Amino acid sequence: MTHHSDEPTIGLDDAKAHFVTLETYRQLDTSLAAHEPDTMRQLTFADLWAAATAPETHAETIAKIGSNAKQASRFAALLRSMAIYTQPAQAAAASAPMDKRIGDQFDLELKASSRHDGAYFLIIRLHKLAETTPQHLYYCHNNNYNFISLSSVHNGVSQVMVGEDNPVIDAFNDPAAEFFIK
Amino acid sequence: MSDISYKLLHRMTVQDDGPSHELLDLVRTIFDNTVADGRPRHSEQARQNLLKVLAGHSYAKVIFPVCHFLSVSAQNGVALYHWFAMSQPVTARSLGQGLQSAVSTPVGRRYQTVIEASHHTQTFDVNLVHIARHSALLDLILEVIGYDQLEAFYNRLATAKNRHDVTAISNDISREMYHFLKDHMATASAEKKAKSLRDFVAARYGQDHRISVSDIDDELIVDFWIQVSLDTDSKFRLYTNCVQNWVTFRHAIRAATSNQFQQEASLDALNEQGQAALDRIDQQTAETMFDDASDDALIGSQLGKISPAELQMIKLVTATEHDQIAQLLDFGDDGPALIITILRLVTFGPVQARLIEASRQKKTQLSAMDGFVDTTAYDVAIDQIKQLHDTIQGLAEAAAFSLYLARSPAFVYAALPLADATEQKAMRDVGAIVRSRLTGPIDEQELIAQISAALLDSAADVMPRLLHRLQQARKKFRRKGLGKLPTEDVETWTAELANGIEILSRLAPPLNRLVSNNPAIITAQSNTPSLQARCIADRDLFFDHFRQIYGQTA
Amino acid sequence: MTLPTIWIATTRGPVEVVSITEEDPDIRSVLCLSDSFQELPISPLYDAFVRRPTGLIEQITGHPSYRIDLSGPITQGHSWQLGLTIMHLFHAEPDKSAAVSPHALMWTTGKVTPKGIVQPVEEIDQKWKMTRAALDKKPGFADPVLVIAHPENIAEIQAIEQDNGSQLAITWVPVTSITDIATYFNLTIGIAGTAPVVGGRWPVKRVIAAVAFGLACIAVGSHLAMGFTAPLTRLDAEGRYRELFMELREMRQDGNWLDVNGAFFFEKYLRHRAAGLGADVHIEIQLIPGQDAACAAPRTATITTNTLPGWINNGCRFQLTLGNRSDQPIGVWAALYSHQDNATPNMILRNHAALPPKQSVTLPSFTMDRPMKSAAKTLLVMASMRPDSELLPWFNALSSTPRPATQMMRRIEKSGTGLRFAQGSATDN
Repeated sequence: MTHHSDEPTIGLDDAKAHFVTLETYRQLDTSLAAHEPDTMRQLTFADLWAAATAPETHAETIAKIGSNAKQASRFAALLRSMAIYTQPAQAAAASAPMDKRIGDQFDLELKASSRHDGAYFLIIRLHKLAETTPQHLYYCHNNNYNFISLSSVHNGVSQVMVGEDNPVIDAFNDPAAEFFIK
Repeated sequence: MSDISYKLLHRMTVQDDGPSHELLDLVRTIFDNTVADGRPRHSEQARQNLLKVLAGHSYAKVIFPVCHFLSVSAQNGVALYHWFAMSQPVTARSLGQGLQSAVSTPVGRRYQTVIEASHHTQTFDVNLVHIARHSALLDLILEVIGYDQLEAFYNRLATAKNRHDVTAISNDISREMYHFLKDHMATASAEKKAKSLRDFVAARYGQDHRISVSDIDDELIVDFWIQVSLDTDSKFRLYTNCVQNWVTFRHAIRAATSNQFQQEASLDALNEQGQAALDRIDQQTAETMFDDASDDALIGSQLGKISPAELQMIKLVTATEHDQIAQLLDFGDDGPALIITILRLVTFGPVQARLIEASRQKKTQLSAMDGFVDTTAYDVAIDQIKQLHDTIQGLAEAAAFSLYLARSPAFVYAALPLADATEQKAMRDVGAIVRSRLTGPIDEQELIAQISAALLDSAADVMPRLLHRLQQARKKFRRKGLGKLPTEDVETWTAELANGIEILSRLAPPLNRLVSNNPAIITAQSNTPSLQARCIADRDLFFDHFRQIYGQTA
Repeated sequence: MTLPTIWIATTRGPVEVVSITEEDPDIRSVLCLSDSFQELPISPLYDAFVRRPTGLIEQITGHPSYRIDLSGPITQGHSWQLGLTIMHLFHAEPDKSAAVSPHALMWTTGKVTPKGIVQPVEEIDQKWKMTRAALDKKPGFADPVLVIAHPENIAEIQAIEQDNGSQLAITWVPVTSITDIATYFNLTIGIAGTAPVVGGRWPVKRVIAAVAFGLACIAVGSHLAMGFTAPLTRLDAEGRYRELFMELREMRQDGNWLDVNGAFFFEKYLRHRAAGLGADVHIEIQLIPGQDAACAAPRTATITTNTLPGWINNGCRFQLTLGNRSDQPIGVWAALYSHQDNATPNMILRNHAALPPKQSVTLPSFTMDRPMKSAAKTLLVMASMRPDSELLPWFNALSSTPRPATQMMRRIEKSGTGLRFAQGSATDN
């Protein structure tokens, strides 16, 4: 061997450890360059964020979130974090359909239209107005997430007209459902 | 050099572990993440740092200052999601702006990018440059742990009372990462290889030997291969693979002695002693806020930008030339010291590949093997390296001439490094004359355009030798896009030429160093065997060994 | 009920009013596309147009919430107001619709102020052009088109028709106020039996003035004043106390003699009702025997005064029973809390029960913890026959302070809601 006396040296085990690092780095770099992403790639935070901020254009993502317990939990945490108002699951299990859900931050009320054509009015009463204008009501029912776009708020009340097939009706009547407004 | 591409040889290297598909998906997604206007969210440095941190298992050391940053953020009421939904790329500036806009009382700043924060009586600095350089790691932590769990940690950081609390949370996060990565980034094969190499060096030089770069020489590499290649289960049967790993070992020694990669032995580093070490790191990162020594992009990664697949309007290197250059660049700074190994690799590596292919098809080529390598093979290989070097230089000159013909202002930037000292001075003088004629303020771009125009007009007088050289190169290298101005997309054409010239200019010197004044191949010295003699000796060695390896299975 | 065909002019073509439905007062009025549940974005404007205090329609019809289905969208502006006002007038007097030909088509455009004044609108040219295009697609109808609009807008349309040499049969109905509309169609502004704000009160007032003057008896006067103040009754029935108090204040301050007396008698009635409801609630507290010596014997006390029995400080288990002594169903709210000096009260129980006539309910038992022994206790019970959306926040506010705020108690009683409160001081051991 040619070993210059002024050359820096290290112990064999240190050299081995550094080799592993470099080799691992090389493997990562090479694998990444050659990597073909899955056509069905897993959901990431960017997907959850998009679904939370623009649900109208990400309905498919919201459905995917609901079908994955891990992502649903993450999405719920994000919604709670972003939500201006939240209403957790109701405490008591009611046997009869509820007409009012009371919460600390907002109440929900469901009334059928007197025209009896299957139209319902979902009335949201906010207890305290925030600076940010609420835009969507999200709800989690049977691990599925859905949303409803909110109309303007007047005197702390927002109202949405929905049909009898709208899943919010089942969610409303389920004490276990959770609601968020953001 | 053989026609079999380097990539094929490389693929023959057997790997049975490494990063999982899921981890690669995550990293790819993080790397490709963009902000609202389409700019990448993470800098190139942040992306490289993620790979380095994962490779070195040194994430705990980064998570610690990141937790301090998150602690400041949480205590000032910034929602966690803010940092992952920023509308700008992650930089020290954008991080600072995010904090500043959220706080009710202005966050103390020692410098532009260092935040002063406190936990009750303890104060500490958070270097936002350091945090921004690890933004991709923060994203990976989010994806691995999940927003729900990370928010739980974040809420704990909001109420952290002292350094000890932050350390505990940092430990918890590191532990989560460890559990994920141990399943998704197995390093068993790397460890096994490392052990083989280490044990060989220990056997050769002694267990307590302190190794230097020059210990890994041509002879060690070939002796190692001789020893291990007869083992049918060995990962080092392929000479190419051997060489690659020993080159990496040399790089590791070089990197270790320059502290390029930081090692983190285990999570236990965050104990009493580790705490003191981390305090020092904290201080160092705060002090190095003006550290603008960004990592140079490896020239190898630049090579990819001039490959035929990447360029649209022009063609510089061919696919074969690209692979050959890549193979040589892999040696990095160790190329000149390992020139014999390079010659062995380019000569006998392809032979081994053919033998493997033949054995897969249940044919034998051992009898015809002698004809595969001529005694002048090493001389031919050296000539080919020199030719490759000349081609690179010639392509750079031909590309520069194309810019001249197009009267592109980019010609001035391309031509300056190609000119000799005298002509460089003459070019600068032209610039000085143009400046001296200015009567009032002028836009910088306009000034550059004027200087370019002046130089283009007077090129034949100012840089006659360079112009002649460029013209000759243009005649010799008639490749696509080199020549007259295209009819459309001139901007792309100009940019590709200008970038290509810069990259080619950086590729030429390492190739030149391999063969120019290299003592290992200068045969004028009495102790140095001639290349032909070396080739013959190596041919006997390699072919004999190939017969042992492949003759058994014939 | 068959309503006339009313078209509302828009710049994208006329929109027909398909149906009108009275909705629950808690529901905001909506405009929606027929055959869909798609609420139009201008619904808040429509709600403001209907509901007091800004709305004209509730003043006329007495009802605060409607759903109107339209054949097409209306996206902006106020020119729809005239058409919908006409529709509401006909809806309030369905028999008058019969007087209108079933083939008649009313084309409308105009803004209507809260005082019922019709104002001209813009873009008449485009609106009429789109209407003519729509009419051309319609099979010929026997009756002329009734164009109902402000005279200025009518003049514009007339000019267009003249320029085009049109042969379309049009009946021009220029209107400058809703009184003109009512006059033309023989409608009344206000419904029989209610006291309209604009114009319609006068005939009813005469009758009441004559009767009240003739009898001059407080009970009879109250009865008449009640009939006169039916809008107040409606507000009370719907639990809309803020608006009710505003109405009463306005009547007393700005109204005429009948308004002032009506308000006076109505307030009297509410106070009387509050007292009655308070008395109708039976409150009983029982000590449930336990192992402690102080809790050995069962005890029961009926709360009839403002004082709680001293033995509630014994640290025992207790139960509260609430009963309805009246013949009406009532809603009862109960809150029991302890408090130290001026500290935030510690809620012991808070419950609500809907009690049918002569029924009782026993609430879940509770224990007075030892720390509570030294604290004062307050029991609040509220009884009402009305919707609770405005009462509940008042009750919550009342039970959030150590000493119930007198002003809040008066406000609750002023709304005709029964209130009982009893306190036990800390020294009663």
